[in-house]
Amino acid sequence: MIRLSPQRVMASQTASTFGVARSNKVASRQELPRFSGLTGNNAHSLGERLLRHFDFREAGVSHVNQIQIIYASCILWRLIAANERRKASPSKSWNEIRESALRDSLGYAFWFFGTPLLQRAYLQMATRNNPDLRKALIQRNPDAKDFSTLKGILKAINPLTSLNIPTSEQVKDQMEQALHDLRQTGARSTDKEFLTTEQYYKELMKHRNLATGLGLFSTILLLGIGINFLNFYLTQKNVERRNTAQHKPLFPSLPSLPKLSNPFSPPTPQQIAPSFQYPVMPLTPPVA
Amino acid sequence: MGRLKSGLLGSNGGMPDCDVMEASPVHFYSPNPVLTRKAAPHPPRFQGAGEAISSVVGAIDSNRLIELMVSDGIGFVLPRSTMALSIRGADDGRETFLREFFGLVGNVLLAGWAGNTMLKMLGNSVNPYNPHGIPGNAWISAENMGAFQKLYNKALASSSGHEEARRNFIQYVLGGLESGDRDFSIESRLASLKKLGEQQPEQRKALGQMLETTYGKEEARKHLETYQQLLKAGNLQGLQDKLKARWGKLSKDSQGQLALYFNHKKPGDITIKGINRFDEQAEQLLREQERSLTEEASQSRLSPEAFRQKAFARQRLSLSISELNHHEEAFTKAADHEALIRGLTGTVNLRDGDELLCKNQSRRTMLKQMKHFLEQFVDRATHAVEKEHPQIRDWGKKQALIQRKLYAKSSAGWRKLIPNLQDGLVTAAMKSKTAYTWVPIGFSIAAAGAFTFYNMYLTTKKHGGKIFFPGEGVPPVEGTKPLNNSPFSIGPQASKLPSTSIYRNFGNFPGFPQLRNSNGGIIA
Repeated sequence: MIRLSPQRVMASQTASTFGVARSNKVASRQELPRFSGLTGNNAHSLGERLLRHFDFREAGVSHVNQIQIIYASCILWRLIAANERRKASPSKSWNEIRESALRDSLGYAFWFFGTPLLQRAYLQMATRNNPDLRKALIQRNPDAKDFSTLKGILKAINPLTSLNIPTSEQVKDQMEQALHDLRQTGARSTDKEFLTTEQYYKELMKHRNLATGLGLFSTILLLGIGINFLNFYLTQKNVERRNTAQHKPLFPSLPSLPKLSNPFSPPTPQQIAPSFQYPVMPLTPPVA
Repeated sequence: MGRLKSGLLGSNGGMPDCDVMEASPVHFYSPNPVLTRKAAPHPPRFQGAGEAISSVVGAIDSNRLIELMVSDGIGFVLPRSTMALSIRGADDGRETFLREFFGLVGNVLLAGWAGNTMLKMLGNSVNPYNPHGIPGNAWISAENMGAFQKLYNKALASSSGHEEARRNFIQYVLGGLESGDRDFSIESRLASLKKLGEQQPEQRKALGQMLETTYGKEEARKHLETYQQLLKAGNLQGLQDKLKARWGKLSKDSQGQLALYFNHKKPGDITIKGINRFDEQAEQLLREQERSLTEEASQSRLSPEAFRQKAFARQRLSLSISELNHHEEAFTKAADHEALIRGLTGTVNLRDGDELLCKNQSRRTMLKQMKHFLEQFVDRATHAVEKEHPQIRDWGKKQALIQRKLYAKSSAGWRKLIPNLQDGLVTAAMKSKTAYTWVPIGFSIAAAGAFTFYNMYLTTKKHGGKIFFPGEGVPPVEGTKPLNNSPFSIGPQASKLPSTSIYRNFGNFPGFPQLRNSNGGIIA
């Protein structure tokens, strides 16, 4: 190890902390180990910021931030693979890409944003007549009141940032603390004051858990089942339309009509069958 | 709505009124729990559908990973693959199942597994990527590391010896912790205090205990009078405003109690041996093996000093690992419970004055990682300085040397990225974090891509090289070869699904368009 006088150590440390470049002379005279300064908190380099965002909070347990980026790239891979298959398949159909885009992007949005929104909505509704429960379960964020900047306005109108709710774990801990304090005063678990307090906190827990349950239930209903009906229906319609238009068997397929299989612009009847005409209404109603 | 609500959440859950039935002697010896419910000292566990759902969800919700897995498994994997299998047939069923199942494993778990594997491979030995021999399980997240570093530097500057610096550091961290849900917690506690209103002595006692937890015993006595007057006047808002300054933080008493854990005076006899216990034990062991080590050193290519350093690091690492394996759980549990009953809830923020250093950290993780920081970094650096420079008495010089042990950074060439012996302990740990973070994430992303393509390749292979999207229906095969409809076998020889399979009948949803092939036949 290279010996270094403490004074110089302090000097270089202070210099790097305050962002002052050390003179080249010192660096060239001797290859000194330099100091990282305050690596974690004061550092603002992109690498450090990304590291702090995506780091494991506990060893070997994925963090939500990591899951977000992995899930997003997984969706991207699915779209890329679907596109490869579209190009290689004889039908050149966009059905799979549309299905994947709908299903996965909705899944992502719902998983990370929809469920918290639903929970807030449920807690707003469920506690609207009960002020004792309400303030303990849902509160306006005191920081989200700045209407002077665009960022502040967005923060204030977004329910995810402007409304705070506690987690189930926090409610559980609040209950444990309250009951522990009561036990310290000499109350036993069969005393009336103990039961009253316990009942109040159980009410809180019930609402918080029901909010979570509602999120789970709506995930199953919308993303597990509902989205399938939509996707299957759209694809089926698309395949039927293509078969009608071509008057040919679907497989092995001949060049398809790319316009027809674009999910976002449904074709006009004339595109499908050029000889198609809308039926003309008779001028006088038919006499019964 | 009212009726629905009372049915769903009502207090008696739609049960018949018990008073009437209890009066009847016929039912007196009945073991029916409904009848004995009123006499029981505890309130009943299940009071209706709402309570039942709540308890199930509560069990799921207790663990974040389990919650994600359940919502993914029940919400995505099961319904999607069942519907795809029953309506669109075997090919799309298999593709959907594999895709969603990989989504569950790959998105939620794989990164954690990969990270754990890396830590086991690199963190259990002294190797080029772990030159100081810091155990992988003594993990400190980058955010916490930054915060601890900042507070330790502050403690170094404000003290006159390393023991005092250590004490100050512990005090800064414990004093800076606050519950993430202070506002909610204070509201709920005051509401529950209000509920005790009819029984005046109980309410006053509860308030007294609440103050004692918040302020500590001595200080609580000074404030008790004021608070009791506010409570007597029914001024809950005033109570709340006055309490807010101190609520959700550890009182001075509590900080002292919790600090005992980090000074190795608790729990029991586990950690009584002093703060430099790993270093001292490792040195003791090295002294015992001195003869054999000298022989080894003469044979190795390393210089005697470097060899000694490496042997010390190895010895210390194995001691720390065995401590982590045996006592970490008990320590964390005890310290965590102590923090809970002294007023910190599950999620905590760490503040230095007004500055917010960490937000929404788990209380348990925070305490555990603080212990790691003290054991693996602070104590080690201090001990090394004491050992290497016993002649230095000046605290300013010592302080600089301790900082050097912790934060020195070698940045010449390739050493910029890879940790090495020239680096301080903290710097080396931060450098190694780069790989520990990005390799698992990159691996998971690459695995997701590979698996997606492989999943499609399976379908293609099964159909003799035909490329198609199975959601549109299976193309008719030229010639007479039968189609293979079994969802998990590859190759055209496998048998078809039997026509009695339940999946055939699930396809007939009313009003749902059947999949038809080009000849008008229904595709199973």
